[in-house]
Amino acid sequence: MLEPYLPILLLVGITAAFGVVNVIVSDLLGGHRAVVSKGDSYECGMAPEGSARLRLSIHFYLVAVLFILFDVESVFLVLWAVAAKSFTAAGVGALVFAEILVFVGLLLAALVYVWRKGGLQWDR
Amino acid sequence: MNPDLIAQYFNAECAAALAPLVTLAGGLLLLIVAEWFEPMNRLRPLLFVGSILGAAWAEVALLNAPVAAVLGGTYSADKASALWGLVFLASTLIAWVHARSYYRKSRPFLGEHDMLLLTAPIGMMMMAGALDLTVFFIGLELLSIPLYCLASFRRDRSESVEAGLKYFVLGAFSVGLFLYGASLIYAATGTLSLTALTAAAATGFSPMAQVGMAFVLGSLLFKLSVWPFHLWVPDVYQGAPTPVTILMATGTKAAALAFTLRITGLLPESSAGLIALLAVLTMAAGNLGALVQSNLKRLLAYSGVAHAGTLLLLVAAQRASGELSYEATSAALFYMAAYVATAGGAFGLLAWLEADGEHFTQIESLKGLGRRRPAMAAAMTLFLLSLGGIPATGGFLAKWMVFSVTLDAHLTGYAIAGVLMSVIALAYYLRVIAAMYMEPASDQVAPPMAKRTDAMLATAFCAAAVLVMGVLPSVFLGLI
Amino acid sequence: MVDLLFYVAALVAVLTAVGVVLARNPVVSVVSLLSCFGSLAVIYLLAGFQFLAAIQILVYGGAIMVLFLFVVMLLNLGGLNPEDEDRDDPLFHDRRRSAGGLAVAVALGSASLIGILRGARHLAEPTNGLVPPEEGFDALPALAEAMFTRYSLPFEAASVLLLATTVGVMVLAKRQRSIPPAGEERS
Repeated sequence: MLEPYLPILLLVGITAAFGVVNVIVSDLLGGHRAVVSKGDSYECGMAPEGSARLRLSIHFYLVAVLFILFDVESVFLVLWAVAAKSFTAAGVGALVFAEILVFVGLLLAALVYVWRKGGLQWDR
Repeated sequence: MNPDLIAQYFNAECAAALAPLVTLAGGLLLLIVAEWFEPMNRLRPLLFVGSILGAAWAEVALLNAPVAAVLGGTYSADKASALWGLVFLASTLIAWVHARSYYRKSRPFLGEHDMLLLTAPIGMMMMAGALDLTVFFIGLELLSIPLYCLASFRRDRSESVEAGLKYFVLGAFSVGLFLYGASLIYAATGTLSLTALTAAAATGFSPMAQVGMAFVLGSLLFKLSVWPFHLWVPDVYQGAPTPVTILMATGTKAAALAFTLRITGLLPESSAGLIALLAVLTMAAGNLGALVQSNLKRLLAYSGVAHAGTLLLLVAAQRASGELSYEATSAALFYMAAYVATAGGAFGLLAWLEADGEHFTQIESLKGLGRRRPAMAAAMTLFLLSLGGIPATGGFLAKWMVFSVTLDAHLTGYAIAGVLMSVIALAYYLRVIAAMYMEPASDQVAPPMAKRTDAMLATAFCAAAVLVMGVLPSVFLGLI
Repeated sequence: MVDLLFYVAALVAVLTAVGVVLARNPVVSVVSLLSCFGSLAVIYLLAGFQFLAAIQILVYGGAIMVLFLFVVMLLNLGGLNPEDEDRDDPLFHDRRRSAGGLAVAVALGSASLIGILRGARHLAEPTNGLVPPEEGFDALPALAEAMFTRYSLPFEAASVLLLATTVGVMVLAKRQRSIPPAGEERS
């Protein structure tokens, strides 16, 4: 039962090995010489200041949620796409197509709404 | 899959059964289209009221020609669900009319407010008509998500945001309980259909399905605000904008109750006593909590918990009496119809007061209302008396029906405890009435009394409904 | 082999789920949650539901994790150090109450666990035809058929739900053009 997944396992293994081996090999082959100037900030740069934790704008949240909503929509579309041919063969393709049209139509209305209301714009 | 199968699913009966849902969804679509173009915003009230009335018309049509089960037995539009649908629509309409005078005309997102408000009854109808746990689950989400957003609609007010967050976190928890329970039931029985589950339960559920059922019941009790799942109620009801509280207190409760009554057959027979005990404890928690409140909105929230306890007696009675009787459902329908008018009216008056300032919902500031605004005080008195179950109001007959169903099911002790609890409840209702009529007003706390036509209309409608249900109940009982 | 994989995935799922709750640093919580989603996907795969596993990775592991990371950065909580802990918060200090809650949780949890274990001996086959085939890929056509016929109401309602959620998100997260004066709400 698990044989079809063997290539995936192989791929995962190779990917992991690539990362780990590279780090180890460069650590082994590269030199280790501590020089003062290595610790300096680069000549045109500046000493790092403050925390790396920046507070993001709420707008990221809006975009992320909108993305999830339309991501979920695509999940339903995949199911329709997989079975569309067999529905047509069974003579009910039009009805199922109408169902998916209603589904997509409602979400299209939502998309136009978000667009008109400026939800896709970056407001500051 | 053959075309005959399709014809079996999508036929005229199906269209009739889904007509109310489709009407509301169509109204929602039109509202969103109206939101695309600024000039169409003026059509909003027309669209909202139109879709509510259209859905109500479809429900009335279903009342005359009920449909037992459609879509492969996943949804039912029988008489009870059609009547529940009317209750939900009434609750939504009352909330909407009060919202019109509650918010300033310039407040942003009023169109969104109406859309979210119109989505909630779709979810409620799906909950009340569900014959399949999947349908119920989507209905529950369709009800809950708009309410989470509406509860924190006043984003400029921290209480409102807090109420939305609290409602969301606890609501998500209860939905998790439901899903876990439903998956256990599915694993144990291999079906999600209530018809098949009822048949399976008659021959005895396996322990796994029983545990699943306990989880499902827990999540329903949360929405019903039954002890010990009631702790969120006072904070959320108080923090949310009052028109939203109307919908939460009446519509959500009715939807959860409708489904709970539908699944009593899945509960073990021995659970009737336990549920009745929970009912009495809920009444005690609600009434004792309400006794010490100084804010009328919070007081009414606790009173809502007590009413949930009374309603839970019906679930216990239906379980105790064995077969699914229509008696408990009809008592629940009448009770909720009366409660929609009563609590809708009372919370509506609070919305009226709150629109002038948060602190006007304190009992302190109601002092002397009987002299300053006699009509308003009279309406509030009527609603409070009906909540307390005084004769000649809708609340009296509703309580009487519940207790008689409980007595018929031989839960005598619990019925007596319930009656005693109702007497305790009178104490805090009368305290508010006394404050309005007997105590002199202090000038600092007097509300400015802006004129609000919409709120006045809704209040008059609720008061009339409460009176008609109390004096001429046959009008409503004939329907049920 | 399959059994072994299942137990490993289940163990990882439980441990990472506990990690989500116990981690003090929200980013650690998020990463634990990601691992939890991954091991759930493995369990779905072992049960023969490739589609569900793929969705789990795409929607949960991808989109929802991004949202969680955004929220963590939005709130900018940082790590909760023991020194930063709110000393006045009764939840951290009322040991009697938390012990009581823990006792109730353990009692209810073990009661339901006993019920589940006792019931696990006689499970029923699903009656709706959504059984994964013995070999090859899962029954997507059967799933699609169920979704477009028997479950067409929840399917269409899901689009209404997504629409309402879109509207709700706009209300909650979109900047308001005019914020009314605090406290009062006049017509």
